[in-house]
Amino acid sequence: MMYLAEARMQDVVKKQLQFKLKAYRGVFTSLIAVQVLAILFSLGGIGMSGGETENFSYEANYYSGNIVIVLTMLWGFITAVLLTTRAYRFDDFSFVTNRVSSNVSNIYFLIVSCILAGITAMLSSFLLKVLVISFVNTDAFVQASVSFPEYSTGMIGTILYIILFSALGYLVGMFTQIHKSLIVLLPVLLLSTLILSTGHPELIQNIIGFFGNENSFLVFALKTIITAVVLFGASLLVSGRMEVKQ
Amino acid sequence: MHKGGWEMNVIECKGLTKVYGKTKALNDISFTLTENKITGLIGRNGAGKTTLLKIISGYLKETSGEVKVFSESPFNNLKVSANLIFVNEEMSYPGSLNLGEILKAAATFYENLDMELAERLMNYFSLDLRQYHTSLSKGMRSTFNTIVGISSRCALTVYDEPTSGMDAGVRKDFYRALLKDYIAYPRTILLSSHLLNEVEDILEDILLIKSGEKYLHMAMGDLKEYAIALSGRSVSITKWAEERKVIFQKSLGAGSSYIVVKNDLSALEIEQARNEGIELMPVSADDLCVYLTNKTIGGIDDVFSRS
Repeated sequence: MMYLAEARMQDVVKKQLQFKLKAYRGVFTSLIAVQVLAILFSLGGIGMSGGETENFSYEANYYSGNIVIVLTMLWGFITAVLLTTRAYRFDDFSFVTNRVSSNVSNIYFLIVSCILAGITAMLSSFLLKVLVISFVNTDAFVQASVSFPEYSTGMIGTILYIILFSALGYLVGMFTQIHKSLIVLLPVLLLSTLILSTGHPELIQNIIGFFGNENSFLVFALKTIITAVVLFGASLLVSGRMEVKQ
Repeated sequence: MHKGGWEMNVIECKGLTKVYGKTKALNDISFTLTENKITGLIGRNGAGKTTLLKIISGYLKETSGEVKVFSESPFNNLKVSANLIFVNEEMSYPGSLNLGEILKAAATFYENLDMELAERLMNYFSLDLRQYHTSLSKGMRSTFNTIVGISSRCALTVYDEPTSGMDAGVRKDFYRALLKDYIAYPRTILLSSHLLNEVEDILEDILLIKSGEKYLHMAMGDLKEYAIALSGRSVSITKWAEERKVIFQKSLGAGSSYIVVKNDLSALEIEQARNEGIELMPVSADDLCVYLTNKTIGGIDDVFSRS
């Protein structure tokens, strides 16, 4: 009898994750580039107000790290789309894999990257403060001083948002892999929904409100996690029978 | 290897069919490959070789019929993937890893991979561990892919046109390396090629496919005896041709002809043919495969003959 190697799903996924963390290091380079760019944008300030009387004038500039978070969410989306492209999917097939292990290791990879991205995005607000105080606006004072629990909640929330966007990107990416026409159809569908809903902004507002207007952090966390699980699960179903052909 | 005369089936196909849109790439193919043999998959361009190998490797899903590798369906099967390596031109690796890192990654996935052998082969074929897969020339890339294929020592190793782009010297070295490692560590090897003369010395069995269908599956030795060529005056050759199925025929000019027929002539018939001034010759396996897979029995000559 010939000796056959056993392959357990969890072992293969673990090996694939380790491999991807090393092989897809370009993802982290792009993360740094995006966040540096976002910090540079933020240095211009997000808003300004001022006033003048006979004797004095005043000007207030507002600075915020929100641009960093928004661009990081976009990065999460694009990175997820990238992982669904042929080149990345076919790389897995040069080693031991099946479609489930390939997807699950991609999802783990995305979650790890998103956690890292969320942490650096939140930490970059400190960098922004230091840069503003040191170089841009030397009289600045920091208005928002948050407690550690608040800060941690903010960080977890940011991470969850980035994961949500990457889960969406992963599903969108998988759809476009099924049929090339979806590359055109999906944006058309999205844009037409936006245009058609200008008279009825409830739909978009409802979607944003579903996540954004949640007062309880726990409920928000549950909503995002469940949505991400559904999105990732749908990608698994969509890609389960995809063939590897040039 | 053979316990009690019972051989394990590594690959079993039953009525395997693959349809792309409206074209049938594979049509009702059935065959069985037993353990620890080198089988050559031979066929013309577009015969369905790559499709068959990709279905066996779990890359593609069969449209109908049944395919079993290590008694399991290969599509989405981790056990099959862990014991099978598919070496082809399209093998892709992340551009961020150099060849050394790719080999290390391969070693974590394929537990039998012999890193020392891989490095010695890399050294022999002048491949640097610090080079990148994408920066290699076509031949060098094929060489690297086959090094991964040999050194990973998978129970089933599938090569699809492994030598494309390689120069003659590297081809010979590769087949020799393949054979040496196979003798030391027996495994099942399925190798596709359209150049049979290049691989016939290492093959034990041959699986010939034509237009998506299995044409024949036999031992290499039997294939060499499969057909016989008759050459002589056209008048007598035509008489011989009428009585049996002609595999190939061509006119030699000056009233003489050459035909290839199945080698089932009795001793009496051979005697008779010789008496008629017909020369009997063996047909090389390479030529025979070309004749068998020609669309017409006259081959390319038919295009130019207007008679």
